[in-house]
Amino acid sequence: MADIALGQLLHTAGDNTLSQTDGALHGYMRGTDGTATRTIKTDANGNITISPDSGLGTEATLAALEVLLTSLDGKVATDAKLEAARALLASLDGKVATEAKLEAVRTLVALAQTNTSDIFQAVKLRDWGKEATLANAKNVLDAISAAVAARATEATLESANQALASLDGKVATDAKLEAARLLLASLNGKDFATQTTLAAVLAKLADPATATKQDAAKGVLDAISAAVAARATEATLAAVKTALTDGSQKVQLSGSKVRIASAPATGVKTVTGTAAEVFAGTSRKPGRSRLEIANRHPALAIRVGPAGVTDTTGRSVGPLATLALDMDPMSDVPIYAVSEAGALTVEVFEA
Amino acid sequence: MIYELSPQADSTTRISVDYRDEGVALQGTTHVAGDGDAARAYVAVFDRDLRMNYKRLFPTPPAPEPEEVEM
Repeated sequence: MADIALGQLLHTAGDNTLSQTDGALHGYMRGTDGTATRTIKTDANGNITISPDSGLGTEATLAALEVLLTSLDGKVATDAKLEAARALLASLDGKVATEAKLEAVRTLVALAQTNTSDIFQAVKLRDWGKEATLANAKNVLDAISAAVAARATEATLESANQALASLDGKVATDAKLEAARLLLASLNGKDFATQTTLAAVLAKLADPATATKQDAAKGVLDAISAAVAARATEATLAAVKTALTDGSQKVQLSGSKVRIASAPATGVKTVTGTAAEVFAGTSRKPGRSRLEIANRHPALAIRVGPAGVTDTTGRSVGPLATLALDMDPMSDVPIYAVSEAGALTVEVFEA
Repeated sequence: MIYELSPQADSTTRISVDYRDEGVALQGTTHVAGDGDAARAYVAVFDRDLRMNYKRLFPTPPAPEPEEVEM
């Protein structure tokens, strides 16, 4: 940018307006290249002159350039066309014969045209047919190829042959088929069991008694059979009857008479209004055969009996009376006592 | 004395007593008619009878020393 000395410009204009300093303005415009200030040059008309050394073209150069650009108008391809051309060339990459191959073909063609041998002449004169003819031939060959591919193989044909051979003599004749048809027609409308009914029957048939149940039944039958076999015969029973009735049968009694067989236990017992067990020791004497209860009260009575004894039921044991009971040593029978009135003491003897 | 009541199916109650807590090797068992209340009331009677019948097993408390009388 030119560094304009604005103060000097205003001084030169003086009292005139800035538009009236035409010429003087250019004459006092200065610029700098960074090292020194220089005055900008003008021509005789006051136009700023530009040195060609500044890099700008001359009028002649610019005119030549305009002619060149005008000649290129309409001849430069657009970006789209250039991209299409690039894609086309890329698609041809690797498909175009090299120069060496083209040369080899050219040599071969030239040899065929000039060689007079039968082979080359035959090749040269051969009617290779038109493209349409070749296309039709190709279609026919393709159809034949597809048909051949779809036909049964030898293995399949052999299997079919064997299957047909196995049916030889097994296929019903028309007469037999007619008889079968008549038979089926006669069955039509009959009330056959449904599949559900048949399935239920099958389930019943498939669930017979298990082996375990059969073994159990066999065990019972065996036991009955053994019992029947072991029973006395009629003759034996008659002999037994005779022996029992004529007095000849000897009988042996077992057991023992009730006797005191162990040391007796004695003690006192308080009999109250609550029915309680009567025994001499700490509890009922095991295997006791004798129980004596002596009421030593001079006025009150007690009642003796089972657990349900009350002051009005059971065996009464009066004042100063003694009750002696023979007990079965094999039976552990408890004896209860209850007072008819108040509490009193009794003497107990167990043996 | 430790006791235990056990109701029985025949409408009686079994009473079991044990004197181990007193250092005495003695156990007793009896039955009374009725429920637990009747049995509980009879426990004292049963206890007194056992102590009477087996008093030899229970230690006798020492007799008090006679007081010296100054003449």
